[in-house]
Amino acid sequence: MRVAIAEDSILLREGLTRLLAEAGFEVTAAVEDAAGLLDAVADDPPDVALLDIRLPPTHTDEGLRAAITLRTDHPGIGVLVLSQYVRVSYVAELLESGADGVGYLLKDRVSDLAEFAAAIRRVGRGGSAFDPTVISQLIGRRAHNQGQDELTDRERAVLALMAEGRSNQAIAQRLSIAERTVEKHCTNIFVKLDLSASPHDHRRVLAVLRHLNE
Amino acid sequence: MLVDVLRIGLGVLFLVAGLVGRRFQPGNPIGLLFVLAGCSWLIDRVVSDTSFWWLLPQNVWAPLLGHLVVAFPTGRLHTVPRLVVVGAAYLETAVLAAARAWGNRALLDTEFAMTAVVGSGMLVLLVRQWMCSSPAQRRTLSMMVGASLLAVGVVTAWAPAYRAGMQPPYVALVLSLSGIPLAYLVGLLRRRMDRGAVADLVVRLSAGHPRASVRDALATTLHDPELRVGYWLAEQQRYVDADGSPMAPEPSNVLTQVNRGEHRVALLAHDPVLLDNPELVDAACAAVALALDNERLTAELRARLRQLAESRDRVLQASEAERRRIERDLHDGVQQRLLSVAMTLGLAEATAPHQLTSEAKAAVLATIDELRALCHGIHPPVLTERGLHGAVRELTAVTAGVDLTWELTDPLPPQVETTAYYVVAEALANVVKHAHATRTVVAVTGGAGSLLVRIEDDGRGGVDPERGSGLRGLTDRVEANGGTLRVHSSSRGTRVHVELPCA
Repeated sequence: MRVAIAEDSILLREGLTRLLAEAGFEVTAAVEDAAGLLDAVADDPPDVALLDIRLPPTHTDEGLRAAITLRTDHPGIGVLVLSQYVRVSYVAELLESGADGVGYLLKDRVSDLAEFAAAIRRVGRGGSAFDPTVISQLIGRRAHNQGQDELTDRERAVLALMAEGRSNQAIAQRLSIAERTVEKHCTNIFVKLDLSASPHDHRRVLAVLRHLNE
Repeated sequence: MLVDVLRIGLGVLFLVAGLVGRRFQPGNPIGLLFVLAGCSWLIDRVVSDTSFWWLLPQNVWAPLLGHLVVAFPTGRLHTVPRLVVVGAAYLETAVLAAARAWGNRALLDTEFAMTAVVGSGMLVLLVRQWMCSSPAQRRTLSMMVGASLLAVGVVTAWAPAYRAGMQPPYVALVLSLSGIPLAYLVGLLRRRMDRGAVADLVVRLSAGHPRASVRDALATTLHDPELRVGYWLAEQQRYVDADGSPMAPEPSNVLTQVNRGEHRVALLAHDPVLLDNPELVDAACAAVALALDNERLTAELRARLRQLAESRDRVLQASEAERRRIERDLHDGVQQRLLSVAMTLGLAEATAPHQLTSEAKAAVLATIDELRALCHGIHPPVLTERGLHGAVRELTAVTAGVDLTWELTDPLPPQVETTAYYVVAEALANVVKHAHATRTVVAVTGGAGSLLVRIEDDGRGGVDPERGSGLRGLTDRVEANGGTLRVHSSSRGTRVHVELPCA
């Protein structure tokens, strides 16, 4: 799988390049700003573009804006945004054009190579990868509202992993339960939250996130 | 007979005006000019010698009077046009005296033309002086200029009228000329009366008028509506106005210092015309010194308050900039470095798993987490990334049941953004913790140089800004920015209303 990187810290940029090579990715470009990434993507389209939120020249939200541009201009390319902080409001912006091939992770996640690589692959294949921190913020926020309390603890755990973008198989593995059980939990969650999409649909992440984000 | 009485009476009037002038304004040449004009006028009436050396002093009263009115009120001819016109008047008199003594008819025939030129020159000078004078100067000038215009006009027209065969009554000439010494004497009298007005000033001030009136009272007494007062701040070695801002006199102003005993109290910036009446200014200054000294203390206080507000503002701005810088430095420096360590440890963990590697990685990640919280406390990073709008949107996104109204287009000063952010964050945290609200409204609006933030919930109320340390701290923060925070809490909900100036 081919990855392009935009990260202004040279330390992290080179670290990421090495890390991704180690995990079997081909790094097509490693640039320091959003404009460079947009050019690199146009020249040699990767499967996934990996980018930091704060990038030169203003070090504010260039990365986020570039991510949204990429999602509109190159819908086939997965976009994974990395940041030192995760913001619920940024998730909503990223989801505006659907939940296909998009991810938003805390930079800390690069320290777990296997998980990080899995997240990139998921995004590259058109899935999604959202940081557990965002999901827990969204679920915690919903907990203040009625209805949410009906979910059992196990259902909540499944909901969180589902919202992160994981497959049933991955959820089953993570929670050490059978895949059939995960499916049962998913159906229950969708019924309880009154979600119209099917729990088997590939757009279920969007449905869940939109529901949580309401 | 009546004409003779009038003639001699006019001469005496000139002499009286001159002597009175010498008495009250010894340094001013106007009095001397009056005396000389009076002598010349009287010689003309008693001597009928037609030799040049008698004709000259007999006729010199006319240029002397012209000289006098042009030089009024200072008695000095300090511009070239005045010197030229007055010189021409003396020359004309000398030439005509010579022509008459030696019977040069051709020269005598030009009398009318010469008088017309010199007379209109004087008229122009008088009118110009009037136009260019300040209201305070006009008070002194108006009567004298009026009388002079009449006299110069009549004298200039006299000879041609005779030559044209008219018989203008001699009384008219005498009366028109008498206007000049009379206007002069009335002016002197008025100056005496002005000094008497200082007594009124003292009475007016002792009646305990509000602040602005010391200046107004002085302006009335000194007849200078544009008079300004600067109060001396000994510590700062400068003058300030009543509001405490630095005093900036007009370049044309004359500055008079007011002392009380040994120490300096104030500075009056007034019209130069008051220099002609130093006794009045001295008397007025002496009368208001005490009142001005009291005002000075108030002005000093105001100036100090102003300085305090300015320095507080600078400190706030500097601390805001510093916090932003520290947050950015931590983000770009330590945080990235720790992340790269975590990344390396993660790589090591993946290639050669070891218990110690995992422990080290967990420790680094915990440090990164703490650093993240610390950065948030120093300066909310979301403000750096998205500005106030994005930051408030994030706050309302992580809290359930919040509606955001945003009506603001103009950019805000950084410290105002940060304060507004903390207002919304703290108020929403309170709503979540205590209010049990179903709906909360956050409204951010702007108007007339200020930012308005309103957070309103439908919870159970009971918020007391005096008790909660969070709201207390918020009030301090808002007030440090010169703003106000009001809380209204009842059983139907709580409303926090904050107004922040953002000039």
